[in-house]
Amino acid sequence: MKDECIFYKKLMNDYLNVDISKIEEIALMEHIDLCLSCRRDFEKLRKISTLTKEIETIKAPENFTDLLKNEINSTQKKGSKFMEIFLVIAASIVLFVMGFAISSTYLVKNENFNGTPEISEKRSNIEIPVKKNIKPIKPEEINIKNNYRKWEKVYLEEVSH
Amino acid sequence: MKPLNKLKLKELKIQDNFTDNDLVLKYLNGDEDSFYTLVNRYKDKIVNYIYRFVNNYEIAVELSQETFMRIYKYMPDYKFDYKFSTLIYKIASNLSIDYLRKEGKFIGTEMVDIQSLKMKSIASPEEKLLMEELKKKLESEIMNLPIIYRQPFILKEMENLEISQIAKILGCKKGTVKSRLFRARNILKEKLGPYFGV
Repeated sequence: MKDECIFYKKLMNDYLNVDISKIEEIALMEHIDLCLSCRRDFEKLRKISTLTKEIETIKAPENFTDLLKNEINSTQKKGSKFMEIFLVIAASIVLFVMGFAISSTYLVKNENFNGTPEISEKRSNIEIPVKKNIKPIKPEEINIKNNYRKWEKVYLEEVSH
Repeated sequence: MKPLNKLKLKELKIQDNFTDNDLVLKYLNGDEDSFYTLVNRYKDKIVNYIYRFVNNYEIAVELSQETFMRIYKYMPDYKFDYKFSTLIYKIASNLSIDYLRKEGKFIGTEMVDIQSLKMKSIASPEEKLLMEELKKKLESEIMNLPIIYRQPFILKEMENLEISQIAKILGCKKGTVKSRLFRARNILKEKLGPYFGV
């Protein structure tokens, strides 16, 4: 292959790409007239290009657009359902957190909180007298019925005072 | 034909006169039908383009549907820097390549027996038939091209896109596209040259 032919091979490519100037095109055609090897190559390339354009194109199925519409609609429905579920879960979490926060605020207010919360005087609005110096009960004295009555008596006495 | 159908037909004809970007704008302004006009405009091209990679009609249709789904999801953020066609071919290219990578194979490597196609002189009555056979051979050889050459070749020769547009779709320089096209044509010329009778 002559050196100049390499240059014209590039121009053949540009010609087929429809990316060639008028001057280059004229130069290419003049060269092809003179060079048999390039003329053969150019004819082959042109035939490939022409035949490729003639290859039957594959068509989309007739229901392509309808299928796509259904797909889009179902995705949108899925999206809104997901959003619905997400909102319900989010609302439940918010309610749970709020409920927990409120209840813990009331319970922690008592300084002597030791796992058995006492009712706050302020919250209940009931004045509960607190007996100081209560005599501790010995285990052998524990008798549920008696203790209950004993405590009831003490309580009523305190209230009457 | 009922007057309503005539009206619908007229509307469709009017839609056909819009450019791609006009239709995108109309869709973004709430006209859902504009999107489906774009789908109808490109569905055959995209199915054909993807088919040339995957060589399987069902998969080509499936990937084309996915291409349009992605476009649909992308629409609210659509930027008018690119042509709509560039964007859609870019998505279709990426999906096809992803599919081929996932499958771990380049489908369509089987060779067609070409001995029967050998011809020095084409008899006139058989010419049409032989040309059809030659087209099939060419189709098969295009499928056998390495993917980096096949992509620009299909975009240029089958889809008639400009070099600059192909460069954007493939994310490379115009010079790269040109050299890949040059290589693709030379491979095809080597494979098919003897059967053209030139």
